[in-house]
Amino acid sequence: MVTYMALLLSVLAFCAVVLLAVITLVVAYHFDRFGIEKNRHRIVAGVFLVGSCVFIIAEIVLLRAVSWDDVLQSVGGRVPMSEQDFPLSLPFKP
Amino acid sequence: MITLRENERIVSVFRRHHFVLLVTLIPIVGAFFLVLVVAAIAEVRMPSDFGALKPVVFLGAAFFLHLLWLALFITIADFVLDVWVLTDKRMIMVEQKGLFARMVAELDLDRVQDAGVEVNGIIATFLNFGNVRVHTASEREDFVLAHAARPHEVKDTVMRSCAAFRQAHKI
Repeated sequence: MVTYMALLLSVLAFCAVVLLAVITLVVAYHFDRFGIEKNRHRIVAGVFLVGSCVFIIAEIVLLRAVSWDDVLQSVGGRVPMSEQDFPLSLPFKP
Repeated sequence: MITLRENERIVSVFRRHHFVLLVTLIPIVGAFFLVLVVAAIAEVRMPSDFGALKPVVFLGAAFFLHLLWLALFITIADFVLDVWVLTDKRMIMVEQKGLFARMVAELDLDRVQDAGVEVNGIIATFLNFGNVRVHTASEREDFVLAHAARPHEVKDTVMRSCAAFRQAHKI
């Protein structure tokens, strides 16, 4: 179960990176398509693209560094519950 | 890209004052530094039990910073692409609204009747920016360049070009 969740989270994070990359290209296209002073706008678009590439590389590196199984363990199932945590008798076993 | 007519040349290109861009960028830059500070605090203060979460925090910070980077350049693109182009035959007003909306209007110089300038407030007076309003002979509403840098020069340039156009065409 944890593995499926981890897979889902990693896929979602990857989709977010791809989405940001697509938006990056759309913004760069706008700079190039509608500019009046072409050269000046290309410098701005270049700075923008270089910065975006740095962010995308950083995101991919971090994405590979994240262990989603460990993350889910530390968030959800880090301390297993025992019956001592529930002094009252419950109709179900927690 | 704007396509010029035959024998048409650009006289001047007008934009809004850079102060307007600066004011728009301040919240984005502030948020940029805030995310950096939060990531740094998370790095220092996060308990060792949650060590596995550190890369996730940095990944989240990278996502936010990337979004802010995009917002920064979308704002700059919006500023740069809002432009008035004055040629020796017409005036072209381009207004970018977000990424996918764009309004382009043009006005032949023989249709220009009058031009006025509005400068409101202390900052606008000291930094020399204001609204330039061009009244036209058509039923369409006036051409307005909001927060134009050096508005009086813009108005004078427009009126000079109109006079030159009328003289050249004996209107």
